[in-house]
Formats: sequence, C-alpha cells, structure tokens
Amino acid sequence: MHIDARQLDNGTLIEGDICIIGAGAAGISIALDWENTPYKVILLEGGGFEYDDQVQELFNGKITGHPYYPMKSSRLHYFGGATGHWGGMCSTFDAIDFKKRDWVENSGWPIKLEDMAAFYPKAHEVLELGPYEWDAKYWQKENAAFVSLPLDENAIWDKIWHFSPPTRFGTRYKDAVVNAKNIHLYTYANVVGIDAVENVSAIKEVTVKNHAGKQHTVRAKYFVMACCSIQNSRLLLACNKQAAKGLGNDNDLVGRYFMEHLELHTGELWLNHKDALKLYQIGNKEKIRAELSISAKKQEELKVLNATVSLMPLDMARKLQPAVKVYTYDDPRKSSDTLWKYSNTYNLDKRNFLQRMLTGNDHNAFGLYTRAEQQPNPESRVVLSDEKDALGVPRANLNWALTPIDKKTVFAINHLIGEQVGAAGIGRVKLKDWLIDDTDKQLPDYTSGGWHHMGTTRMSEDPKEGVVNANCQVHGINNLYIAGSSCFTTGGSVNPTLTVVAISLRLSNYLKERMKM
Amino acid sequence: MKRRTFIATTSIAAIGLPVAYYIKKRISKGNPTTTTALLSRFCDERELKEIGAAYRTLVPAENEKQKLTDLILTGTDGKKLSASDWSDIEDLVSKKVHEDFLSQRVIIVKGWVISTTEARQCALFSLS
Repeated sequence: MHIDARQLDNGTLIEGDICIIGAGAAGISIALDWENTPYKVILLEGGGFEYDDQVQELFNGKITGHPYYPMKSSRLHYFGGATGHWGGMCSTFDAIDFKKRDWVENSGWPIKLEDMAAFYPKAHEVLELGPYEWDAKYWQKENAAFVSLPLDENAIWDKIWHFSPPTRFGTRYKDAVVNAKNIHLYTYANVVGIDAVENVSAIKEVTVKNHAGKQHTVRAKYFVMACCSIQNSRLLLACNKQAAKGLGNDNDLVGRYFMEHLELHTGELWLNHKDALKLYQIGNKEKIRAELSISAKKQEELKVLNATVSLMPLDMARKLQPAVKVYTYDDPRKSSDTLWKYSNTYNLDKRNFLQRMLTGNDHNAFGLYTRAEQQPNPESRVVLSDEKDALGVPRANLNWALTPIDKKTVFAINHLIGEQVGAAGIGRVKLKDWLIDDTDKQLPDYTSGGWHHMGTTRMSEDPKEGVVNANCQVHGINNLYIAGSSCFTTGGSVNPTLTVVAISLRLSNYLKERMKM
Repeated sequence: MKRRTFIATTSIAAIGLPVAYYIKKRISKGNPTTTTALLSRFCDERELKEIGAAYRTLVPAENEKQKLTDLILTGTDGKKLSASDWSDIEDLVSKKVHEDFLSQRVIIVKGWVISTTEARQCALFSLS
C-alpha cells in the first residue's frame, strides 16, 4: 500500500507494529521480509518514486578534512535510495574483517562472519546475483578462460565479486512493496524528530514532515532507522531535547568512525606476455570477476588493513581521472555526464571505452586500482551544522579523516603484488611515486571514496565503544534499531551493499523473533 | 632503437660482436651482468640507466663497477661464480633474481618493484 504523506490531513496519526525509516536497500529489504506476516509495517520515505531536487537538497551539507564528494549528491533521497545509482559490485566480507586485530585500532565486531552465514545467501537473492559461489575454483570449472595469476595464495588470493544487474530497488521492488497488504509505504514522509518516553529507554513516536507543510506522527512497537550512515547519525544527534547529546549518544560516539573505502590508481602491472586476464575483467556472461586480495596472514604479518586490487588495461587506466575529481556536482543527475565528459577529453568515447572494457583483448600492461579498508577513526565523523534544512533539521557536515595505516595498507598490498609477480616470473610491478614517498604518511588528496558510507553508529557490546549492540539495537533504547552500513564496526575492503542487505535481514530476523515474544 | 642501442653497447663492450639484431630477438643473450632479462622488456635504455643511477644513490656502498660485478656473480651460498660462460652467468642471475623475490630481497627503485640483483644489473649498466 502506498500513501503520499502530502495528501494526508495535517496531523495524521499513523500506527503500526514496526516503523522503518528510510526506503533504500536496507529499508526495503526489511520491509519485504515482513510481507505476508500479521504485522503492520510502516515504511517511511522522505522522497517520492522519482528524483525531486527539493527533497535531495535536504542532504546538503559541508565537507571538511579529506576531499569528498558533495554531500547532496553522494546519496539519493527517493524510493530505492542509493541503489538508484549504484554500480552493482558485490562481495562478502572476510572472516578477518569481523575480528579484533591488535594492529587495527577500534577493530572487532561483536559478531563473526558465521553469524552472517544465513543472511548472505538471502541478500544474494535480493540483489539478483548468480549462483552463490565465492570460490574462484568453482568459476574456473565453469569457464576455462578464468585462469588465475600464478601467485602464492597465502599472500595474494583471488577474491570473487558478483555483479548485480544492478538491482534498482526503486523499480525492481516498487510493485512488491506497494502491493503488499501489510506494508504501508509513506512517501514524502521525512522524519524530523524522534520522541522517547520520559526516561529515554524507548521510542514513543516519530514526527514526519514534507515540503507541502504537512506534519504527521508515527507510532510503532519497534523503530528501525535505515536512512544511511550520515542521515542516521544526523537524526540521532538532532534529537537532543530529551537527551542532551542526542539519542544513543551518551558516550559521544554517534557520528564518529565514519568510514569509506579508499580507492585510487596505485601502479602498473607489466606482464612478459599478452593476456586478457579474463578472470579479472568485467563483462563475462558469468557476471563475476576476481580481484587480487591481501591474505589475512599477510595483513597480520604486515600490520595492515584489508585491501583488494583490480586490474584494468593500462591504456584505459591511465586515461581515467580520480572519481573525487570527476563527481564534483551537487546534482547527482550530472554524474554520468561528467564521467563521459572527462573521458572524451582524453579521446575516450563511451562506446569505445565500453567495448574495450568488455571485449577482453589481450594486453601486457594493466593498471592497478586499489580499494582499501579505512581504519576506524573517531575524528572521521558526522557533526551537526548550525544551519537547518527546509524542514527545520540541522544539516549534517562531514569531516572525513584518514590515518597513516591507510596509506601503509595501500602500499603493502601493491608491494606484495610486486613481490608475488616477480617471484612468479611473469612480469614486474611499478608503483606510483606518491606511494613510495615515505616522507608523506597520508594518501593523496585525490584518493576517492566509493560512495560507501559506513560507521557513525558502530556496533559493539560495550556502550562505551559502540552505539548499537550485536542485534543492531541502540544501547539503552530498547525499541530503536539501526539497519545498514552505519552499524559497521569496520568496513572491510569490499563494496558494502551485499553486507548492508545481509545485516539488515539479520536484524529483521531478530525483530521477528522479538515480535513473537 | 633505444633498447637495441643499450644492449648492443654492453654486448660489444664485452665481446666485440655486432649483436644488435640478435639481441632484439633474444634479450637474455646480452651481457647477463648488465642485462635484466625481464625488466628490459618494459624499460628502455634511458629508464634502465635511471634505475641504475637511482640504486647507486640509494646504496652508495655499491657505487663501483667491480663491487657490483662481484655481488651479481656471487651466489646466495656466498660462492663467486668462476665461469666466464655467459649462459652460466645467465643461469646464476636468473636463479638469484627468483630467489631474491622469494626471500624478499626486493627493492623499489624509480617505482619498480625489482630484485636486488636486477637493481645491481641496472646500476652496473648505468656505469657502462
């Protein structure tokens, strides 16, 4: 069922069993997991079914620290959320990503990879991925052209990625949500306030507003915030009437530990023979590829974070600009135009680019593109601005702050690949000048994020170290939960969407059990 | 042409043969103390000499022809190769380069992740 909150009488009281705030990958996945249950699900979306610049403007804010994409365009504020512009790359976290690593400050989830085991396959289906197979050997049986580079897998191993169509939740799941009898989707319902009971041990209701001047109240037994890392923390911080520091923020953790993946070109792989390296390229019918990933053993030995490296024909890699230099517009609709404008500057037209990416011609030189985990850093954070948006909510500002181990990690995996390629006798690796400059401990300004917002309401069993517990419940508030990547304690090295959906389904499962009590 | 010039220079200096064409086809048949079998596929003469010069700056204790030659011709067991046959030297160097990578005797010079032996070959070449 769909209701446009602008059309409701002002001051409408909406009631349900569970209220999900935000209709992106996390929120929609949870809502549909409750389809055909006896429970009334309220799904609140701030925007509509189409892009609306007035709504998108609510995401605007300022960036400080390491250069980042404009706040307004780094997320999409309509039904389907950021899946409206994601690339579809999916991979699972590794076991080590969940562990406490004594060389990684603030690492260690209260859950293990095994705790996600039941939910990754479900998320896999939601994201319309192929067979649930993550071992390169499986795919090498499916396609003989998927030949691994002869590297020592104890150092560098082939981490498999799957490619979603990509699933655009806003179109793919619109009918399912709208037609579900027990799911009540309210569009143009921006949550602007969360009211708790007197001792702030539970949430009583939330207030929603829209640009039409309507304001409504939503009550439910359980509330799930699923509006992305920046907006989740923004809302908690902004709700500071009953809790001076904001909801769930007694220990000054909300908004902190914002993480991204650190993405940039880091070097060149020169082979002594021409090869398409099909296992490592996109565009195959299996819709998978491998990236070169640093082993857990080497992470521990070298005291670095997780990281992975993809390979792109060098002549193309050299022409691509750092994403943070390309995607500079506030208007997210300009993003793809901007990419091709840059490409054309280098005589790289779209058709030619895609053809060359997809045909898998042989090359003897490849660009190394690194995607690395960022160490959780309390100074990397979302804070409230003095400025308010059109609905009266303080805007969120982001200070993205990196630490020296981030660069150390990027160096380590590339150096390790260089050693392994040399040991295999198949070629040599050349690293970028900035990477080998050990007088500068920071990554260069053009280090880009992957639009992967993580952290800000991190998970820990200790309220002094995390905002939510292992079940994604906000510490001290027994009916408030947070879904998605803002709960991530650490960010791993892979794109987060698969894990976002998996951890949201895990939360959904927990809430179903709790609802039965 | 650059690579041809490079290898010919070292080869002619060593044995006085006009080997330019030969070397173009079989790089490994150049003077194995100064010819990096694999790296020279990716770098021209100028780049190889730059790598060599950079290595000599990084490791000034080895900034001398005889020292570099001795180090290149000394096996990992500490014994110096007495053979003057290039193919024997080539085998030794090839083995050393492989062992360098396995034993992490690896150095980054001008961005290249190379074996110490390769770096010394470039250094010696840059002094030729």
